[in-house]
Amino acid sequence: MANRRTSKTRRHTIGIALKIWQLRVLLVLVGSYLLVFGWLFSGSRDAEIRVEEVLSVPEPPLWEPPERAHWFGTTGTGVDLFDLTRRAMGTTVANAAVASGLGVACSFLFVMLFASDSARRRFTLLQSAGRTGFLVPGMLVLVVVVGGAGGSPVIVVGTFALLIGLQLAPTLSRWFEEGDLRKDLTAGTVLGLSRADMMRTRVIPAVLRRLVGAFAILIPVVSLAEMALSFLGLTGERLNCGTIVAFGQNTIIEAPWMVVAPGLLASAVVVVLSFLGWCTAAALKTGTIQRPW
Amino acid sequence: MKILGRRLLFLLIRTGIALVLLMLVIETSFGVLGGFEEHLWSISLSDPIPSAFRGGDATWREVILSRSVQSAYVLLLGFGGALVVGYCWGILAARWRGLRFSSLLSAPFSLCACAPGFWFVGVVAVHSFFAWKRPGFANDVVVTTGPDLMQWWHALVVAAPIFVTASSWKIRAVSARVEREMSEPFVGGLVLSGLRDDEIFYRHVLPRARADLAAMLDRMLPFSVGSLLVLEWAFRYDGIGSLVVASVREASLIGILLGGSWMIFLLGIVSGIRELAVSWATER
Repeated sequence: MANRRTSKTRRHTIGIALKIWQLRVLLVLVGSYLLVFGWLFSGSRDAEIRVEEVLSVPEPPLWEPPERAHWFGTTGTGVDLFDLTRRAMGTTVANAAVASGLGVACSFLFVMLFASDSARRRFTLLQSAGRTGFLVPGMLVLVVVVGGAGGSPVIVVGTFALLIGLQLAPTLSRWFEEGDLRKDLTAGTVLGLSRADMMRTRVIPAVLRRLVGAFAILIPVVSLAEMALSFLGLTGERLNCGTIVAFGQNTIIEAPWMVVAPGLLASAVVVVLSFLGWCTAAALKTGTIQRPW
Repeated sequence: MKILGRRLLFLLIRTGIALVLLMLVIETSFGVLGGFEEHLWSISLSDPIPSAFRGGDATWREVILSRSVQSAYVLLLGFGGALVVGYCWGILAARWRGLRFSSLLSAPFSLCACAPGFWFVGVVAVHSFFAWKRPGFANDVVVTTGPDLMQWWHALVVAAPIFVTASSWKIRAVSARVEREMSEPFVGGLVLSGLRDDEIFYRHVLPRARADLAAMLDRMLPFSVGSLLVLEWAFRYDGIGSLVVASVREASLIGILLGGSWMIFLLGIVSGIRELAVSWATER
């Protein structure tokens, strides 16, 4: 009679395969993010690129329209526009990721100042502040602060982070309130668990999981706003897709691809990041969050 | 009525606080972080208007009035259009939720919203110049006789990105709210009592969701007003948004304060209308 017990190796293999299957959505998302970021951040960084020099138009200009060798054409100084835009998007996405991460962390800290209170209306002050903040458009604050303070990267990222922190806080406070209504918390109260224990083991992990989704949604939104600030000429002479389009507007008759092409790539990157953000938010059941500006 | 009065009073107070916040932001960014010597307490309405954004206007009052009209066109088309499309398509999406209409209807808007707005208006300027042989930007043409149709065209170009982004959010938000109402237990009871789908949806579900739908009336207005800053500047359109950006670039504190206050007052007024709509929807 044959031995019907599965071998240890086979059991382990099946276990690993099952685990991978359970984590398939996460793995696909992480893989996709790695691919996008790897492509954006590959090659040398933009530290050595002087935007004024690269985007200047010498006499006679060296630009070439889009062709097989240069998909997006070249700038007035003969630099490949596709590569330049890719590098610019890399900087933008990096700034957006840092700003979103800091913003989400700020928001969590703001809400945690009130969350440990056991009163039912503990978030009233925070939500009231949110309603007041609603009356000041976020983009107005960004333009005034970044334009007034000189537009250094620290100011840009810091302003984004503070703005996200303030605007996301009312949403986060609602998540905490929803967490308080969970049935397992009622059971925990009946069983005599302390509020701090329930917060630490049940409510906060659930909120943190949703925050990851909020972070993923915010990256493309912040990228668009950061490009807009650069387009307005408020972030100094850093390489950015907004700066390239702004320079291109001066030459739309002679070299229209200088405006059209960078925006195409920027849109494609934002579409991919938005799609990944929506998928991440759906996988983590983040729900809708209010657009911060 | 008493509650409505109290809410409007709170709104007035919040608008005042928002104005103080704006002043604080201006003073902190220019005075403290930027090291400018001019301060908010030293400015006045009689200060000279920088020539970069004066146009044909002689006083700040004229500048604000003429630019308010220009920006009003944009908001009417962008935000107003998003309200109409958002509510109609959102309700339609909820009505046909089994067919995943919500995602289908908002997907084109969500996709278009991923394109930078300033780039879109740049592309329109390029197209306008090469395909139609017309001046690309708004400040390149002046209509002297006949109806000023170009005014509406320029406003439409600036409003399009606002319309697209605000619509995509509105459709999803409206359909999500109505769908939540449709998943309430009372709907099952009405189905069992033999009512038709249409009757349940239009006579019972929608009226119950009315107050919440009214409450999201102004939700995308801060975004729309904020977008004016970038889009008007990109298209060289003489509105309040481009006034604020020009003022920031010229470090004209009075221009920033007047433009910013205009935006806050507008948001306050629409929030007041929202409160009235919610009150009306709740009472019915």
